[in-house]
Amino acid sequence: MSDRVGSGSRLRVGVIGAGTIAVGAHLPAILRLRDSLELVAVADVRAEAAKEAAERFGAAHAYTDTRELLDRSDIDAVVICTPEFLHAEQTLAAAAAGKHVLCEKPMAATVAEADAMLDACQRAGVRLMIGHSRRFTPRYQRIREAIDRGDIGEVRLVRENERRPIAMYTAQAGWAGYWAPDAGGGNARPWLEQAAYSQGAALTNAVHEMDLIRWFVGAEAVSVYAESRITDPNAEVPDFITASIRFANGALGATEVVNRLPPGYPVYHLTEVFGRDGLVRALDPAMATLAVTDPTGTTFPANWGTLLQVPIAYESQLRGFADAIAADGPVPLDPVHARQALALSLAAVRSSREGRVVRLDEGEEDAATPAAAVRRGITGSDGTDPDGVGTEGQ
Amino acid sequence: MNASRPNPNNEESHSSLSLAVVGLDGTGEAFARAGMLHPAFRLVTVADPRPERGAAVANRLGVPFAPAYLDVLNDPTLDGLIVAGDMADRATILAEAAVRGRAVLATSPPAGTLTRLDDLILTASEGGARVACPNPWRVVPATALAARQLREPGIGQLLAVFAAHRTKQAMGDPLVELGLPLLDYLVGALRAEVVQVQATAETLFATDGPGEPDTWLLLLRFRTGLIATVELGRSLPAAFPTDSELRVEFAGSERVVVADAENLGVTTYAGDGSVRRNASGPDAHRALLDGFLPAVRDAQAPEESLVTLRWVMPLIEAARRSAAEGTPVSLTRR
Ligand SMILES: NC(=O)c1ccc[n+]([C@@H]2O[C@H](COP(=O)([O-])OP(=O)(O)OC[C@H]3O[C@@H](n4cnc5c(N)ncnc54)[C@H](O)[C@@H]3O)[C@@H](O)[C@H]2O)c1
Repeated sequence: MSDRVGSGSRLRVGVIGAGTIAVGAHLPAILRLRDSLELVAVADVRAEAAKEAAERFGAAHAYTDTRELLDRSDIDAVVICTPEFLHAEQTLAAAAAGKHVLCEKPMAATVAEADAMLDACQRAGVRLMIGHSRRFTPRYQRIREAIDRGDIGEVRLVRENERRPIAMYTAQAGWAGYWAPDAGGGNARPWLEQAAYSQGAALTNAVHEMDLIRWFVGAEAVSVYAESRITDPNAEVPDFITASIRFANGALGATEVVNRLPPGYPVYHLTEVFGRDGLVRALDPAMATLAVTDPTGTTFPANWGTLLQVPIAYESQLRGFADAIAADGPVPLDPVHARQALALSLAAVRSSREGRVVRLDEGEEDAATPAAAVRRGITGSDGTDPDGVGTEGQ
Repeated sequence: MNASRPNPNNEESHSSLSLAVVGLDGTGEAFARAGMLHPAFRLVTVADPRPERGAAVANRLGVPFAPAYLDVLNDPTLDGLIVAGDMADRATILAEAAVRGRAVLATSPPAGTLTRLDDLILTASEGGARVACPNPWRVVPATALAARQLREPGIGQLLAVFAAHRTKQAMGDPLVELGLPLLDYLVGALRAEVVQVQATAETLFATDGPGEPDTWLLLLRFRTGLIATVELGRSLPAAFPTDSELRVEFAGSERVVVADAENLGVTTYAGDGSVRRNASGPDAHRALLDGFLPAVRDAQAPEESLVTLRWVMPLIEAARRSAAEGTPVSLTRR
């Protein structure tokens, strides 16, 4: 339990997971917000990564065991930047330790895990926020504002297409993603491409699209049909997904995500919101190159920054989180939205697997999927489940 | 524009083939304009089942207007007919032209169901008509170029296809009106067989009562495993930036080809990060008339006839069934 909650003083933060998104976005944002945030410690199972990040971003402590970070009484909140199959376990541990949690998207690997996170944080009286960073990106905020102002009338159809060049991550030297629990620090395949840890495009990026579509439509999804594909013969999870979604208010949503485009292809994003009276469209056709710039520590290509406004979005997301804690108020993005986006993404995964339209009220399939079974094997490999959750009993 | 007006006294025009356009929607008018400019054709008259609309277009173009369109279909001095107009009109005019054994260029789609299409095929064959029904997307510069680029080496493994055709027009069922030519084009360009379709149809924008859906979302699975995402929409809000928009994207592992028919351009994203934009080509209606020429002048069977389109009807009908039943529908090889 932390010895104080940071009202009036700086919020003391620990970062769990010092990989791509932590080093590329969260840690630089913490640094930029140092007037109101203090980075106390970084934890990562890769000792070198934890140490390097701590040194670079000015944390006094680096751990390989997250438990040690959570045991510190001078930490008020944690930012969880590990892969999604660890989000529930680590959030529950953080809540039990009395830490507020800002956790990366996707919220968890299953809806049951997401519910456990909501429940645990509520019971522990700590804030939980999920890093659906696009909600904090100016261009999406402008779109939502246009909808709210009534510029385009009632929203009837939302399309969200996203394409990524294959080398967006992998071309980066020493990419953290090659880490995997059973790779022994080696780099067999990135965890993102292994069925044991990832669902592929559905949770890597389509969960963003699902969240944005829900946000713009302003209603709950009723059903989804999806087709997915593994186009990379070496990968175990789909790098392509396309889905059609029906919403309770009669609107439709549609998304297509392709993650294996040529290395030089610009990160591409198309957002179209059709209302009864008009249309909002955002397209990134002009980003023709994949230049890498690194002035403040970001390792993302410049066009990624242009597209998603990474520095601005992560900063404003973090500020919102910190302000909510300081003011003892609600976080700016209710984690229930992240839970719903996850449910929709997982329903799309199920639809593509079972070849049928999946209704959201069917509930989650038994989590005894191959991926869940493998995860169980990993998190409970020593026969214990330290936080009493893991992925068991979902 | 005077020079392009039909001029019976023009010597050159004596040697050209006489043409009439029946059915004066936007496409009919565009064909009439192209016919006026085409060196091999002489636009003699235009007609429409709805005389007021026909008269207005004729006036705009400065060509003679025939108040009774059946007179045009019966006129033995005409070498060729172009049949356009709204779906319902078009099918009727087409049947009447077919039964008279004329050389007809029918705008796509010629019919909304397989039964109606087969009726037309039978009528045309019994009447001895030569009915060309070319797919415009095969000649519109952007889509034609995109299809050619698909065949060039260098696109790599095809990862995904996305196509959207949307319009402000309040037309009939967009699955047929927009979908039939687009699906025919996609399958032709990809040279692959569709094995399954899943369709979501909804009336999202149209305010003309609970008619046919105005929006279709189709997910097509090809035998190769490729998935195409297709969106079709009519009756878009008046504020929609263009009258009609078509975007086709072929995403390959080495190259991405994007055809934007509105701007008549193709953008190619290559693996080395280079982006190439191609200039637009010749007018599509002109190209369609070029293709129609042998059928009129030499009485040849048209390359793309009603029969050519027959294959796509089962796909359209599978999409309808999928939307009605809420399940994907597989298409088995006959
Ligand atoms: N919001 C966004 O737009 C966005 C962008 C990228 C990634 N993400 C999300 O962020 C999360 C992390 O993604 P990433 O790309 O940074 O992954 P990554 O593989 O680059 O980094 C994960 C890090 O977690 C560390 N780690 C693994 N197990 C750990 C444990 N038990 N305790 C502590 N550290 C551990 C790894 O060593 C690695 O450094 C994912 O859920 C991903 O979906 C979000």
